[in-house]
Amino acid sequence: MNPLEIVRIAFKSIIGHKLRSVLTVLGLIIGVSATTVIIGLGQIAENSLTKQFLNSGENIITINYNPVPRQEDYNASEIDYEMSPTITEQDITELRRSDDIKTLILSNSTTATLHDFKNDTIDVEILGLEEDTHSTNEYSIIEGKNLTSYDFNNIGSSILISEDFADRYFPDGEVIGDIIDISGYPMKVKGIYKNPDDEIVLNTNQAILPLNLYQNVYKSSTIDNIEVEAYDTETIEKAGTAATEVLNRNLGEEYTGQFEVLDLEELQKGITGLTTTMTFLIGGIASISLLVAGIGVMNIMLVTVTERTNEIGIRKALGATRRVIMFQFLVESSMLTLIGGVLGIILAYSMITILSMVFNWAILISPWLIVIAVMFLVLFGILCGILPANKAAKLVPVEALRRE
Amino acid sequence: MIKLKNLSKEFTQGIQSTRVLDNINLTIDKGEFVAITGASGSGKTTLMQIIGCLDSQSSGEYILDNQSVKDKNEKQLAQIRNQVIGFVFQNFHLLPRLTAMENVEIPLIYKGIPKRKRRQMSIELLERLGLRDRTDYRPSQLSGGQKQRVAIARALANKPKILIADEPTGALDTKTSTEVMDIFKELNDEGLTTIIVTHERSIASSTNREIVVSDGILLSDGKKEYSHESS
Ligand SMILES: Nc1ncnc2c1ncn2[C@@H]1O[C@H](COP(=O)(O)OP(=O)(O)OP(=O)(O)O)[C@@H](O)[C@H]1O
Ligand SMILES: [Mg+2]
Repeated sequence: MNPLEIVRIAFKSIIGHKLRSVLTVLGLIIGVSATTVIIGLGQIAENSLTKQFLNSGENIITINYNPVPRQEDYNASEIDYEMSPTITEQDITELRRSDDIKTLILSNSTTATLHDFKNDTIDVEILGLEEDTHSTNEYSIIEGKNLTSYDFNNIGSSILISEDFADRYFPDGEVIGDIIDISGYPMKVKGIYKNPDDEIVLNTNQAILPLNLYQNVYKSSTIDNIEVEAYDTETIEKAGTAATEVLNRNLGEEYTGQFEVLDLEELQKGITGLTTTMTFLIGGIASISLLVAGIGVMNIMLVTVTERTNEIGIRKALGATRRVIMFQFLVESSMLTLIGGVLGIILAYSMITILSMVFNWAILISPWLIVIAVMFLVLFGILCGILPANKAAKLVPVEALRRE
Repeated sequence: MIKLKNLSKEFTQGIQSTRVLDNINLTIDKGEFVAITGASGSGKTTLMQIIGCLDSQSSGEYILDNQSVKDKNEKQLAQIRNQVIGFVFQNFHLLPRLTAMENVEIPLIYKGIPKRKRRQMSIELLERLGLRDRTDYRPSQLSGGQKQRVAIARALANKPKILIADEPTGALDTKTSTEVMDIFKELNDEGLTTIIVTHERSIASSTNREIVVSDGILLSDGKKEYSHESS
């Protein structure tokens, strides 16, 4: 017989027991949505962490100074964690000569303490950027104008400030063109940029100064932070190695440590490991509710079978085979899980979407995840239905008919 | 068509076993109209269920259409129940959630007849049994006689070769009983082998052959040629 007929019979029976079906489905909705939300949030967390730490999608690698020497036999007491080398003009000239490095992203940073209109203190992160660095970062200007080559090549006083800083320092009134006193120097706000939301920054009160201006204010001719941009993803490692070689060669005797490339793979593994553990932990708890819901389905199906012994007997007496009866009950249980599951997934994604909108996360709804989830649900329904369906299929027609 | 050879049926409950049918020998030919009577608990329903392939014997043989039923597998038995035998149960056994029409459709579904054709066949059958205006009623909305007729329509749905009716007039008044019996006679006249179980002598005597069962033994046979061989 046509399997569609059995699906129709199963559907009718679900409709026929409205309250019971609704309650069973409700349990499933809760179980599935709880699990899906946790897994979804886990993915979002992993994705944003990865993005923040690894600037993924760009061919940029950060170079750090590690005060711990690489040799095994070092004396731990000799390590000076305070001593951190700066990057000199000499380094920069040599690095610029390397064929593997496309751009050097150089920046200096320091923290300045300012006073706002209420005379409260604000700690502002002051960034000194080179023109290249500035353009690579692609700051989006929401008010005023961006810094131009002119600003970078001459010592002026134009700076950019972050949105949060602007809101704090100038709660109302005109910002652009206003003067802020930073570390004793008056500076003119040329533009306000949006705080990047995919980046972990401890301090969102920031000001960007052209490097020349920064060096002038802070009386330094060296560079604190260096990143290198490679020509493509494959040569990132090569560019990083080339840069560390130059820097370590020029490193003074007094430094026991050395420059190292931030190990992207290790970091990525670490992040994935961390978020996976978290997801599994919370997801594990959430999936208990899914398990309970599954037991609910199984329970309802067993009750259904017991209650419908007479129906099963009649159907068998009228020509239904064991397989047909089995199939009918399996379809019934998988239909219940599918309805509950799909509603649960819809609920979960609405919740994730709302949360993402509130907290400004990037949502990922992978269609594969949905396909897998739906397949899993059908399988889950079948699994929960096997025991009851088998019980129904094995009933002898006369036995079943005798019971009213 | 139907041949029972030394057929016995025992029910075992724990260590106790009761012999409900004892060494039955019976042959029913094609086109016969047979009545089975006997006291309550004598084993009539049990016998009908074995003939209807709903149950199996403990010993002896049941030969249907020259084939031993014992050799049939589950799927073949389902097919026999679906297409060879029409069974009208002692207490109707209609599915309460389905309408009269949908109840009649059940055997047609399992035969694999498409929906539209099924609907039409079911309506025709109900019409023939005088239930044209009751097709969309549920069993709870039907009278005893109407339910009985729905059950008969359902038994006839797949044009069976044998119609077995277990006390089809038990719950009916004399007038309705006569109507139902007329339906059986009409069907038998069309060549359908018909076996009915009844308590009422008047109904039994209106058939061609009357078999009396007592305590699981064939006590008498209206045709006399297959009398009980004592064991
Ligand atoms: N599954 C069973 N287990 C144990 N005993 C059974 C079972 N089925 C039937 N019996 C017994 O078999 C005997 C015959 O039952 P059956 O239903 O065939 O009688 P009947 O002649 O149809 O009676 P009635 O006229 O009341 O319908 C009864 O004594 C009954 O208790
Ligand atoms: Mg009986």
